[in-house]
Amino acid sequence: MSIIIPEIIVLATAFAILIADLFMNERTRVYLAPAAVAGLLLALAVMVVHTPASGALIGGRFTMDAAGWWFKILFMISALIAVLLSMDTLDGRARVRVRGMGFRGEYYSILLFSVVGMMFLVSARDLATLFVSLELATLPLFVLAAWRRDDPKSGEAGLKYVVLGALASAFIVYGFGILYGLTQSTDLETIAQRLAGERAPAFWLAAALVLAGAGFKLTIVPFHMWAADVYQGAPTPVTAYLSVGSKAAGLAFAFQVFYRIFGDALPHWDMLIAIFAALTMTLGNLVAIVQHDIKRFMAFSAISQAGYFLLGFLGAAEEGVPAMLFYLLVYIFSNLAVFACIIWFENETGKGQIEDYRGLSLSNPLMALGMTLALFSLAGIPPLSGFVGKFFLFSIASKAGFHGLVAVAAVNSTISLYYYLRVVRQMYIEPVDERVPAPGSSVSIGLSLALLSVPVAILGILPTVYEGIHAATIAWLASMPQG
Amino acid sequence: MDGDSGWMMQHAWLIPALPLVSFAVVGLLISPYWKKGAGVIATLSIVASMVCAYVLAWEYFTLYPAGGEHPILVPWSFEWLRYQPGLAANVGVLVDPISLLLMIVVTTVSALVHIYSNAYMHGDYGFGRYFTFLNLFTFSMLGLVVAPDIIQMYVCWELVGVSSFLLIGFYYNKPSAVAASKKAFIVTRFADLGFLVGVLLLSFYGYRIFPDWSAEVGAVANGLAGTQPVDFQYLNDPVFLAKFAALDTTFLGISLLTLSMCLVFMGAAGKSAMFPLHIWLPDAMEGPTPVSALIHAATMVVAGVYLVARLFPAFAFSGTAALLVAYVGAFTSLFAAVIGTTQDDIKRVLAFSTLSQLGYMMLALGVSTAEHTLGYTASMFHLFTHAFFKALLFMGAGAVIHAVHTNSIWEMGGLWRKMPITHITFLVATLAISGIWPFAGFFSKDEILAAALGSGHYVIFGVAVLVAGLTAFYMFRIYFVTFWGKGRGAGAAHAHEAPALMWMPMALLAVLSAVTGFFPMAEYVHLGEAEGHHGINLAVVIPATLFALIGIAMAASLYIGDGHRAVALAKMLGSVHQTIKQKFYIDEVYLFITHRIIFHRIARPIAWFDKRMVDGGVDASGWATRSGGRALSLLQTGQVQTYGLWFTGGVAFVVLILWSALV
Amino acid sequence: MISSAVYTVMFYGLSAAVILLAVLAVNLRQLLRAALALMGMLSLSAGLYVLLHAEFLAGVQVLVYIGGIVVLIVFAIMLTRSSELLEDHPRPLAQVLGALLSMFFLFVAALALRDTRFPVQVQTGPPVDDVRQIGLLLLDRGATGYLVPFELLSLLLLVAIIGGTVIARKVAPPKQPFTTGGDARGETITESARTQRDIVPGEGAP
Repeated sequence: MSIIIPEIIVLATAFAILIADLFMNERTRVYLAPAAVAGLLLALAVMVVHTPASGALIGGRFTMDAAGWWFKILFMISALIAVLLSMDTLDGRARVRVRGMGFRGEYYSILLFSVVGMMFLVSARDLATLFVSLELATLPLFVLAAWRRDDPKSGEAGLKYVVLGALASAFIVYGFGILYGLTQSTDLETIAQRLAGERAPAFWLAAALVLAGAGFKLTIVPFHMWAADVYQGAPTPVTAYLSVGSKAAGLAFAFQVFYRIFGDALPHWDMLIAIFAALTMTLGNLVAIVQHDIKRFMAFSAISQAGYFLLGFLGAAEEGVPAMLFYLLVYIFSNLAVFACIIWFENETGKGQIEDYRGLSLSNPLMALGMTLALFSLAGIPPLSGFVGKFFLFSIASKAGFHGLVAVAAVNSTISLYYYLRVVRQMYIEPVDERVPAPGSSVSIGLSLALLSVPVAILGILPTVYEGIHAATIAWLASMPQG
Repeated sequence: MDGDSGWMMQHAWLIPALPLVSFAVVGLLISPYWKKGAGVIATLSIVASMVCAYVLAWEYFTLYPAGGEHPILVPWSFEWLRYQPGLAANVGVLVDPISLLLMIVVTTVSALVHIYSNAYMHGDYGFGRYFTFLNLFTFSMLGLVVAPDIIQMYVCWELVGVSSFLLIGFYYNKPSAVAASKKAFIVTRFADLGFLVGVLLLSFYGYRIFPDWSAEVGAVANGLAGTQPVDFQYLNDPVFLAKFAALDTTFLGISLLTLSMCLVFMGAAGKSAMFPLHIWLPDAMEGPTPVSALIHAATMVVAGVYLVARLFPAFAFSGTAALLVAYVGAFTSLFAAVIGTTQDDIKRVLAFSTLSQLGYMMLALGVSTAEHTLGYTASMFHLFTHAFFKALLFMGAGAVIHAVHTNSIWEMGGLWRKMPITHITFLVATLAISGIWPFAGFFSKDEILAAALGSGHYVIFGVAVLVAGLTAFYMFRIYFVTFWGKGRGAGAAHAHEAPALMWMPMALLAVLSAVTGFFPMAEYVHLGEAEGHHGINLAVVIPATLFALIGIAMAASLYIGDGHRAVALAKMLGSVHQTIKQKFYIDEVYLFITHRIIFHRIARPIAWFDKRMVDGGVDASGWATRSGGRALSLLQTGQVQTYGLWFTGGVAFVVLILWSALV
Repeated sequence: MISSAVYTVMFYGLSAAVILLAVLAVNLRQLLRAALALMGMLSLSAGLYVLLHAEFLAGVQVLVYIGGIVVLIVFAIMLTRSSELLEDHPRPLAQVLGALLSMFFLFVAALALRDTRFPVQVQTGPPVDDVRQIGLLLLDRGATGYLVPFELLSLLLLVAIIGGTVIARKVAPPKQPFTTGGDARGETITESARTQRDIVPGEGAP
């Protein structure tokens, strides 16, 4: 029974916030965010201390495994930080008021519902649960993206996201339908067994449809088009959550699909994955260079990072899976750290162009340092965690014989260094803009940045985390149905 | 690891980590805002690191008392990067007598230099930057000293080079300093190229031989399962060395072992400024004087000696490589001492004396063999004592320069009355380096000479004795000219004693220079059986002391007074003197080779190609990247229909690829 | 029982009608007509379900989609002022490409499905107790049940309700035209579907 307790705690928190919101006034609603944080912390604690890394409930329809354990931890951490980053904006503590960001109770509760959806996603063992939980994970994101109702950009972002999301979901459902038709089962293990050695054309069609759906969530080129507009238009704290939560959910979905359903065929898709990886990182990087809006810039950076993730699907799962999970961990921490600074800066100055960050190292050295650290980690500069994460992924691709791809990835890393350094240059070399008042500080954002910077700096040096992930995924792979 | 190993042993990583943390904190957070704090925090971190090093040494020698067996411990390490199964680079801390010795030397001298610099650099532009770099250097040096494998050693080796480069060019608005820093960097980088090839050779063959070795010594059973092919313990293992030397592959008739050791020695020679790669060190004196004391006298330049000592079993096994070390060392020590007698810049004299003493250490390592290891002990002993008296000499020179604002000894003079403390400490150090009983240099030099004599290298022994005399001569030359006689320049008239923050570290070093000779080094640092301190070997002591006294007497007769006898002597020697004074025109030879041949015949065409083709290509690629980004960003039209189109197109593409692989 | 030939004719007739109505629903300029086409398309799909012996699903289709969703859409159209669809037409090139791609996709999918032999489940007669079986499956806690997705669906609907109310609440219109792509360069872009395209330096506002 204990394996579902974290989900129940998060769910209960969501409902409690939703109901409590009805009986609160504007003044007391500031306690909603701490309540959400408390609920997530409790769930995290139960997860870490109490939840075993394997088990099954409801006749095997809800299961727990070692990789899922890591995923759930990551989802909850992302949500936790997202709540911390949203607090200032929603409670009106921002110096430059962001208009139209009300409905705190609803905001936090559907954020938590999205986490619940992601957590069920990794525990799903049948097509129906997989699909419904994927929808539960993403539907709140559509709504959150459109949250700023007085900002047409936000509404536009929400609409674009929901239309394209529906398109992706339609493709996934179509694919699932064909899979069911081929195997007469919704159970993932049974499907995998019956699909073993299956080479019917419809199988490939189904695979392509499901791959496209996973590509949408992971922002793989050419399924990435929504990302830039949605990232830019959505309220910035939502963008922060979107950039990590959606990607983590996408990776979890990809793991479910690739390793549980198509595990047998995955080795034959190396070429396809390599093409997508090369396309994704190149396009994301090239377009990021010419951006001026920092959120849009981060959107293309996130797209290019997705290309690096794909490298992990090449070669043996025993190495690829831990490398991808580790890089996800690194990516989440680094990206959220960058967004913490972006949100803080927007709250304090109301500005969001890269050029607006000039002289930040003088007006607030700590924030500038945190952001630099995180950007360097994303660029993969040793000894920061991003370097080690990329190193693992690159070495997998090179071991799988994709030397050309590794060369492309290395060139892309160099390009990315250029544009990440653009931001750093603004902060450290350009003179401060005297007309802009010096930004103040924020407790919740400062706290989250501090919490994030430490792992960004040390994850690459401490081997324990990677070893933990490695051990977990080996156990996870051992539990896979042998197709 | 032993259960009873102490707290410090388990936390030995603190020793390099403290300067690193302080480097980051001072460099990023403190130095731009609080200049004074930068100095204080940087100094405190080094002092803390020094205390840790002392505690670590105490714990180690409590565990393994003097005179007994001194095993190599790696109390803390983790796997950093795994290249492939069976080949990984570890980061860790290696503890054995010589690494402890170096840790103590580095932290002590560094701490004293930090304290000294707080006064010396006071009010200087870039005070915070200075301490940041100094911390970076100390971290890199400690990382080098504690490296358990050759990869960490190499990484830190380069870091040390970078921080040295930064500090030599510290006064970046002074063209000569910039030129000197470039020279140092290029020369040492050139040498490091050899080192790198050596590292690659060693790790490649180490990796190839590893499975055989592991089977033969029963690595798993003997608790050596965690050993990596790049670890020093493995590279120094006789079984491995025998296998490596026995490989059929040879290069121009030299065995691969000898070849790789010679390449490694090339790196060591670059860093320790052995002939002919010595040319950067005298110019490196352009840096602030405390930097010269720390980096270019006491610590960084001995990194090469340390590297040879660390791989000593491999050098000794090769034999040929060891002989190379011995002859290069001996030649450098003589060559540099001869030049030292004619220089007028006080720091340059000290620089040449450093070269000469480094040559001593190298020759001591070179003459020892696996059976006759006295030279190994002697070399480490001399490294230890030299660090103190040479740092003291530089600090004294720094105090003098600080007071008279010139480097030329001919503009000083008569300073003993105005700067009594500096005078006394300088005298102690001069006596120590000249090898006069009972100062530290006497004992360590004595041991080196004994090693050379005992191993039957009579030529080298003769050279070393001659150098002892020359050393005494040129050291007393600058001593007499600087401190005795009448004040000659305007600066000398207004000289005043150095502030307390400067003379206190000097006084402490003077005490160390006076007494460390009595330290029973052989009990602590030895290979195999501890060879007892051989006491006073008259065959060594008498000629050495005699030569030293003759040197002092000659210096006294020539340079006490107005120095007209010296001028007359120089005139008499004519072109010989001129040649020596111009450092045997080595710099000019290099200049000729680099300018006339490399620049004109090779570099110009390459530069042309670089400018027209490569730069153009790079510019074009940057332009292409940006315009590619712009073009691609046009795809992002903002229309959902377009996005949907792309999505559908993507699906069609996937189906096609998957299907084409199928059909 | 319907004979197999009649069955086949009905199936393809219904399918053709569904496709035609779907195309109309997308392309008609009058919103109300489009909504009616949608309604027709949905009800004919219910007919398809009946042909496939999924009577319960057909009932749900009629109740939820026709009785609920389409009626709601019609209400919404009646209550808003403009019934004329204002659409930003895609460029002709995009239209052609879109058509080609869709045809291609259709072709590939049809080919794939034609060339595959699905394991056909032999069905002898209509299933008895259709609704009861579905109900039991939805609440079954065993290995073959669908309790988890069923419960998750309720959460999904709740989220949809919350999201709908939040977004639909009345809000004051923005006071001034908003900017995109950099207040630094002072580019002001009026409202259009293209507000978020990348700004190319030198090109100015579209």
